[in-house]
Amino acid sequence: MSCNIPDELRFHTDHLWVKAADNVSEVYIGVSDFAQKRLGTILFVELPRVGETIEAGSAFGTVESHKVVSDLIAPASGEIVEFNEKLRDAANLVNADCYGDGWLVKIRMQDAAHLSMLLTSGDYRALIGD
Amino acid sequence: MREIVILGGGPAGYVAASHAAAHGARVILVDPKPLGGTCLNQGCIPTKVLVESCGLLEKVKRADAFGLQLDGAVSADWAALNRRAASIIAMLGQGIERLMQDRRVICMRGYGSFVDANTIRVDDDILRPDAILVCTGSVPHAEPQFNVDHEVIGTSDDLLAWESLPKSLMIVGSGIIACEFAFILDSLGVEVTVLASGSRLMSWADKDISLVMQREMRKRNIQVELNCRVQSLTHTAIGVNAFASGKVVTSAERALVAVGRKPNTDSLGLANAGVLTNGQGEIVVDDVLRTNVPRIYAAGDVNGRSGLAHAASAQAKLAVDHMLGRDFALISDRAIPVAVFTNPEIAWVGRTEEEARADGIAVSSGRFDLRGLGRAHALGEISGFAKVVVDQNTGDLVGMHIIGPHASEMVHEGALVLQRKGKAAELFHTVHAHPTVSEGILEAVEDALGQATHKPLSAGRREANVLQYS
Repeated sequence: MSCNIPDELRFHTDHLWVKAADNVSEVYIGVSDFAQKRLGTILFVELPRVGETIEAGSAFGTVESHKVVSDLIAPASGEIVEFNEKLRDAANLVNADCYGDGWLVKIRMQDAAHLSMLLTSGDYRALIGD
Repeated sequence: MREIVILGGGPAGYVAASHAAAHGARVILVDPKPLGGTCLNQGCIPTKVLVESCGLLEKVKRADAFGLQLDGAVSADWAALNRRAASIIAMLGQGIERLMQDRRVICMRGYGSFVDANTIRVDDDILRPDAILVCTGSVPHAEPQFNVDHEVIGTSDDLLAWESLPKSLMIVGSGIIACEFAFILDSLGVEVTVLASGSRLMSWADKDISLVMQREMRKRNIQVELNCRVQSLTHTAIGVNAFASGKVVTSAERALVAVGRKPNTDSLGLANAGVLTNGQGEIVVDDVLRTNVPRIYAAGDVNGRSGLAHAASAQAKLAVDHMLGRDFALISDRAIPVAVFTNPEIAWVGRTEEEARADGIAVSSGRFDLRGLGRAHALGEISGFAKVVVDQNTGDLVGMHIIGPHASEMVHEGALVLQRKGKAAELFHTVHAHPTVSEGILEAVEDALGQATHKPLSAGRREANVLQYS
């Protein structure tokens, strides 16, 4: 399965990507191309509300497809500053554009240095055997 | 021939009357209201009529997903829904009355109360039966600070009598009644907010069931506020405000207060008979439903042992068997199934994993997501799972927990195994028809005992397989 793994992003072993936002301490988080392909057509994404905090390595929401309901595992700790409201009525944006319109949440990272500790695109490609 | 007076004609009282009369007792059944009790007239039955219409409405709205073309719109008509409920209630109520006639049960329309431990007064009539069974049920309970006025702020009894539906509704509570009404009213186009005092809905259910139900509510745009202990409800010019932690947490056009029910014993004169009640007014009974006073029994909601109609009926039959000196079998509350008609349905029987562990039982559990089943996809209802809890040492089935389509029908195979204190492996050895949702139970048992056929191979399969106990 050939996957699009952009070099400018960082990844977590549980298949979410992280991208630095304009503000250094803030990052966008989304589902990797590998994960969205494995999930199949996505029906619903359950996300935390603005102001809630998420913890690296712990579930912060769920993604539901025809095949499975899967926990979303936080790649970094921080506070939710925004979530993708478009997913409410169009969860399959995650399938259509997982690195763009299908982003999940934006968080203010507890520790901005954490970003550099995540997998590079090369590491992630190796992990998924791509 | 023994004479029995039964106070209350709900699922405990009329079932007791039928059972006792069928076994030779002379029975007088006393109820001021139409037979069938809360269950038939203001509870189980009217809400299930609504649930069925709502389910159909939701499916019709998804007609295109089923390859059906719908010309024109479909919408719910609250008055018509209630007419359908009323006609079903009337038909079933007549059925109960005919059953009573068939058994030569004497039905008295009136309020019965105790004069003393041997005497019941019904209006001007004095009865001195050989035994008395109290089955007066329960009524919705709402503290004064909720300001129930029945029109804008009401209980479930009031809501079913409302002539129109509000645009928005807040529901205070997170139990069966609160959750069922949340889905019903959402389907009927009402903006619903559920205010739950605990950290999850239906806090005594399996915790994964609560999570799925909360997700299903969020999918439907039902607002769920957890850890929200409502202190009071107040009327405003345009509706209702809910206060928690000293501030307004939500506003809506109307409010449903569904925070519990209390035994209906206020006007029974129990003190005249010396019948003991506990702090909440529940009549204290023993294993065969006897009160502290000889020949006075109490069955159903009024004794606080269960809030379920089918438990009430089972208790009523046991009480009658005991008072008539017939063979009887005690009821295991652990084997009484619970069914909740949310969308998807929820049903369980026995202990949750947490309850079992708290009771000192080492358990393992197996789970299967129903979306792995062909039937669930054909139904277009893939959310939910079946879970079984198994005693690791004995292989006994400890609990079964289901959320998904037809859960209320599926749970009985678990109830059957539990009432006979059977093994989970009995379910494994029972061939399940294909394609059915019940296959999910088989897979869950397989998952608990080793490896489900339709799940990826588990890495840590246990060496000691409980199948060996079968």
